[in-house]
Amino acid sequence: MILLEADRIGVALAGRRVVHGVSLRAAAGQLLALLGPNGAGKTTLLAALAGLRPFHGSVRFQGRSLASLSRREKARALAYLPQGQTVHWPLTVRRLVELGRLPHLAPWQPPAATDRLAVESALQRAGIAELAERPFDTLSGGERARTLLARVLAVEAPLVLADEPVASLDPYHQLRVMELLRDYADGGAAVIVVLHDLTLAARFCDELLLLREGVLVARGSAESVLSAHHLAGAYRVTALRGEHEGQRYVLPWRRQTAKRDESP
Amino acid sequence: MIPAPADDIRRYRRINAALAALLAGLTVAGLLLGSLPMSPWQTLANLVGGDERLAVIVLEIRLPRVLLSLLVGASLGLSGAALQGLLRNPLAEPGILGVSASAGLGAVLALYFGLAQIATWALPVCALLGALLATLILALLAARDSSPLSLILAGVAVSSLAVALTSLALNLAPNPLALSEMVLWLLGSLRDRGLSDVALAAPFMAVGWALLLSAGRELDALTLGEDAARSLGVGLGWLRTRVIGGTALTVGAATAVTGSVGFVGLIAPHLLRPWLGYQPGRVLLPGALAGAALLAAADLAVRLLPTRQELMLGVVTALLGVPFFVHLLLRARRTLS
Repeated sequence: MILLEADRIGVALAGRRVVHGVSLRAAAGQLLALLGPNGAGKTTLLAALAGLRPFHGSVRFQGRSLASLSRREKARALAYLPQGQTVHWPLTVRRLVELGRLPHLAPWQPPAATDRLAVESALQRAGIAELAERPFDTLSGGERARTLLARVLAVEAPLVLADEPVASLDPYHQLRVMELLRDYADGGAAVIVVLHDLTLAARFCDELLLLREGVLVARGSAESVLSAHHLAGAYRVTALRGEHEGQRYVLPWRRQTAKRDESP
Repeated sequence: MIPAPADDIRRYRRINAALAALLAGLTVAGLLLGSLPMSPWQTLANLVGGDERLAVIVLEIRLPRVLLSLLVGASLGLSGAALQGLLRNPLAEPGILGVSASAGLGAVLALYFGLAQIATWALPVCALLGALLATLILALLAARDSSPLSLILAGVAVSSLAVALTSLALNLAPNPLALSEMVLWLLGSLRDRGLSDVALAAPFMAVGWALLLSAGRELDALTLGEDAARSLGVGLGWLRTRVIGGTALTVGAATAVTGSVGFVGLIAPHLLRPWLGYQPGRVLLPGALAGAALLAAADLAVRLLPTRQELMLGVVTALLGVPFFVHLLLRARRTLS
């Protein structure tokens, strides 16, 4: 089942076109990686898909136009994790995760048993149940990232858009977060995740989308998207590649010195 | 032991109940204590015994004063808590939007042009008009972009303009008496206010309170930043409109009847925030109750202190507030560095 269908998305920020005619689809059960160098427009595209930036083109959620959904419907359909998110008050982990239930609550309605269950389950899945009563400002970087991810999981949305959820995490927690997102997708959701780690993308994601200067330059399996040609074109690097335990890894190794693809 | 989630709901209720009890105590004290050399017990006994002169003093002098201190204090505390949540800045306070300075300007103009002598309601009405005008200018200036910074800067601009025009009015004051009248009014006081002032301010405040109290959940969501809050279904424009509108109504009405009273809106939410898990929505109601308690206590102190001339309420709250503000600044600097 196709959950998200974006057709020729174009986004301009402050008059400058940052994303040009990107089309993509995400089906239930799919984990998609959005790749590309800094400034390629990944974050902008993700925010546009979440309905947070004005864009050209159309985004349809389960066949319905995003614009036709009410704010609450949209919030229940789609959970969004911004990049490098800050938390402005030192709420406890549980309180922050509970904010994910907001789209399910009427204005003065207190959280019901289903909401508490969703929060509990998100805390468990993110592995932070034992931190539930700790204030956010006492957490380590990894614990903070998992708390914010748990907040997104607590929405229990069929579509999750996560912008660099593994940035600033140690290797153990990077793997852990990727497993978590993989599990969430396997549970029947569509997940689109912005990544810089090519190996994590190759190993955990069903489909990779490579963005360069706002244009979708490649899309498909890890094998086709992470080819030497694409890595050179988009990232200007050459990479070591190989296989271990039947899974592909890609390790950026050398910067390209040749100027063939660069504009002056 | 780790508290269960239900524990902090109980704690929230207990804090509100304790504050409500404190308010009840301050109200009774405000009615029974005063400049008459009479103990509270004696006052109570005489009232029950049918002392009509005393009844007039209590009902017509002390009652409006106590009521106004509660209403104004609650307005300042509530709008301070809501603004701190909206701007995600612990140093925000109702004055930051320039609404109180503009209400002050309206009142000073009413005194300057002698309107206040023609009709007693002219001064508060002019003050309310000043607050309304400031809100409109603020909305125009801040409408184009949604960041807290642009709202704060717009507030600074509105506030500076109002202060400059107020100074101009003082500068050109027709005579020393008018000048002292304007200056004293600006300092803020609850002296010689009547039930008509309560009746004038209360409706505006009630509407403003409703707007502010309805924003709790959305302010909670804003803890996660604007994009995350919007992705949770928060309409930022509508939220901002309600908080600014609510602040304009409550603080405009408060300034219209008491003059400017600073720092209560800054301090009241802060005193309680650590006990309420820093959740912005949870700070609203207790912030209002604490603001009311602070102002009622300050006004009681003003009335009972044996000074040669009664101290102005705004002077007292500022004197108490500044050390607290400095303490906050130092603490903020520690956490930032």
